[in-house]
Amino acid sequence: MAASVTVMTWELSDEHELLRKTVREFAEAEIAPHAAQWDRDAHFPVDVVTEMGELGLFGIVFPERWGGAGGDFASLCVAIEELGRVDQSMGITLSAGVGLGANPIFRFGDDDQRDEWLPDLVSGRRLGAFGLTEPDGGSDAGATRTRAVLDGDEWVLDGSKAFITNCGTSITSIVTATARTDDGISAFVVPAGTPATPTASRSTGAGSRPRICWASRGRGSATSCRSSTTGGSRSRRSPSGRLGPASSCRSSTPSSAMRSGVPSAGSRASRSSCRISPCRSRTPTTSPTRPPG
Amino acid sequence: MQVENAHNLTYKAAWLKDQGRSIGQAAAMAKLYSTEAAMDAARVATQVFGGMGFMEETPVARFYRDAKILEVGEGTSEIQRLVIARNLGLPVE
Repeated sequence: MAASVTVMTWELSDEHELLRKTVREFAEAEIAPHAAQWDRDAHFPVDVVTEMGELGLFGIVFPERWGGAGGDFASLCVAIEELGRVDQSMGITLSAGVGLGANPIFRFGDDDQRDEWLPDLVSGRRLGAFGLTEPDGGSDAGATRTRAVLDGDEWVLDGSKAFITNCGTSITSIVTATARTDDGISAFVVPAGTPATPTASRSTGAGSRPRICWASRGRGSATSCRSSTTGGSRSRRSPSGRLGPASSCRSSTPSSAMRSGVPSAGSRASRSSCRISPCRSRTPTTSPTRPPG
Repeated sequence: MQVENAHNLTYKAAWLKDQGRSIGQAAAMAKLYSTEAAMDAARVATQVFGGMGFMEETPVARFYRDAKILEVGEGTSEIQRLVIARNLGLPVE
């Protein structure tokens, strides 16, 4: 919105309405006809996400330096609204990709991290995910049990995460995970492919196709963002400042929650088994975040 | 009317963000109200369809299911109420 506006108003501009028209046409042509079937198949349409990226939807609010449009949040709201109008799941994909995937890197990462991860996230070529909720933690982020310990020049994360929207796709590049350090709770950037990053995927059948993952209980290294996601904790950086392979990894044990069936919110909720990959290799595999099946 | 209110709260929060102003309270209210409005609308729509509202071939069944997750993800309604109450200065801890 124009900065010159002095009265309080949130009326949308002609540019917003033009964006609305563009996204609506895209959503009705490329998403609406397929949404119900994608739900039935628990299919995550990577090709459509890529097209959303080519439309510039993931880059609306980010600076041009990283490939964004430098636009406003009202525009992002318009885009999410129009996707959600035909398919909530694709609306959430955009919302989470921007708000939970790219934004933590943009706001709290340093320039190295921004240069490394943002161009692909902003363009929609890759998706970022955020691991906050834990199997026993619910909404209480302050009760985070996952621990991050500095081992040499690498951070080692040890814990479990659940409901990690946008992980478990073939184009997921990072999972930002919160973990407790000696100084409080910080956020760590874990690249997809790191052993013991989320490998299991389950479908809820509700608004979020097979993109909600349960992280295995395991260890993997990561660099941290400079700031935390919860109040009171401090910024941390890996001494090396770079992402490295996991220094160690132990085989995982699925929690009881992982073994249980998929919560069925409707007759169509698909039931997919959870598969936790034991982490025996020190070498990142090529696509460990691909959903089973 | 709830949809209109949800629009107003959401775009007001976006507008505040674009003005560089504090949005904690506005965003919490927008998220809480809009997601519950979506749930209300989907619930009523499903009821209108009667038994067919629960059948797979009826789109409202999908809308109903999809609406519910909005009240849970990215900050539950309970957390939004906690944030709002805290911003109002109420003793919530």
